[in-house]
Amino acid sequence: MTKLIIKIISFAILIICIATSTKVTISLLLALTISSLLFVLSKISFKIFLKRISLLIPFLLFLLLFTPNTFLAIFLKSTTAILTTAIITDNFNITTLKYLGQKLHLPSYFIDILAMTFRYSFTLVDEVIALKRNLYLRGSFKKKHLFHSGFLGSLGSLIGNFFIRSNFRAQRLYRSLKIRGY
Amino acid sequence: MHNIIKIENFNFIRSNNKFFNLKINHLEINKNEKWALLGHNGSGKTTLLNSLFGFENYQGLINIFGVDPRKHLKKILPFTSYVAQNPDDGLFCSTIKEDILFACKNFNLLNEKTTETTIINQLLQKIPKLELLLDRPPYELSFGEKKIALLATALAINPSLLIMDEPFSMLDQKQKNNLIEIIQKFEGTLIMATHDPVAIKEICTHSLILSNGLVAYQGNLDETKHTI
Repeated sequence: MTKLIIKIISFAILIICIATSTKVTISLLLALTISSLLFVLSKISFKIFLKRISLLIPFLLFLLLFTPNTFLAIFLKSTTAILTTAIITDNFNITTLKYLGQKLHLPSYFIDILAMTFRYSFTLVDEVIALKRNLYLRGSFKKKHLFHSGFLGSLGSLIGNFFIRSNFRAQRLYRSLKIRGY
Repeated sequence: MHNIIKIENFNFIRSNNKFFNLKINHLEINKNEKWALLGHNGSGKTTLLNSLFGFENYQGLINIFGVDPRKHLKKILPFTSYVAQNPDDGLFCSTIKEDILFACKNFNLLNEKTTETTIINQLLQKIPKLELLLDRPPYELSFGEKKIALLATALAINPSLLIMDEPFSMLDQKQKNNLIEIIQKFEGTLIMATHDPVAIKEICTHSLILSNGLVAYQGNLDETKHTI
């Protein structure tokens, strides 16, 4: 139950953090402090946070170089978002998601859409992994620098195929739902 | 009603491939018959199955339970179940139990006599080891388990017509045998697109063979058994 309350508070902080203007630095600092506390309380491995923030560092450096005025606010926002999403997604399943949605009195269609998005994110991840493996096995992604035409071509076909497959899957899912009376 | 499915002058041209043209002049599928839908890859088996629900844009007439599925799909759905080729397309709830009861709730099949427990218990008698899957989320299951779970969701409404698209693809022999045993117990009308010769011989009474967009054979399976 405590974990669930922490998740609900984190969800609320995430929404507030996204909605808050970059000019209100004190509020963002407060949000970061609370989310850090919640992160510690959740006993989530610090490695998860480091792994996720490492993906963000290039973007933050880019911001520091070109828009130094907003750097602090965006740094606070993004770090808070990473902390809160780590808390929300820790040991998370569809049942918890549905429970959270019902507790927050969200409309049932909205909960269904959220639950299906969560359910099919796993399937789509599997599809991306399978696509990437197949492309790799056929010689793509060997040149790992970004501006190599082979790399960009492989990346393009990966993303393109992913969208097409997602579209077909969505169509088949819609038909399955319709057949079973939804 | 004797005819479960009636097809007259069916003609389908794929919008993105004008060379694909599937034609069926006349086909009648009667109550409790078990039909195998056979043909090479790309011969139009899945297209025909999709057309039975009115999902494809075809010319001609398809009647299921005397109703045109393009106009009155909702009328036939409470009596018809579909097992997709890819089980991920048909398992969308939090747990397999929820997936099983999904259609029953949508078609208002639950009442004082038919409760959730009675439906689950009936399925447990038909499907061995289903109890091990009930409380698990679909994404945790193996491919074979997903196939079994999907069949359970289809049988939950106790359908008169069961339509299956390649139910045995990518299964090992043991799982195939399990699935064959479960399908053999099904008493209603069955249409099954498959390439599995053992399953056809064990389950089916009739076959429809598609080749080059036309019906190469339709009728009693006994006459074609030696060629399968």
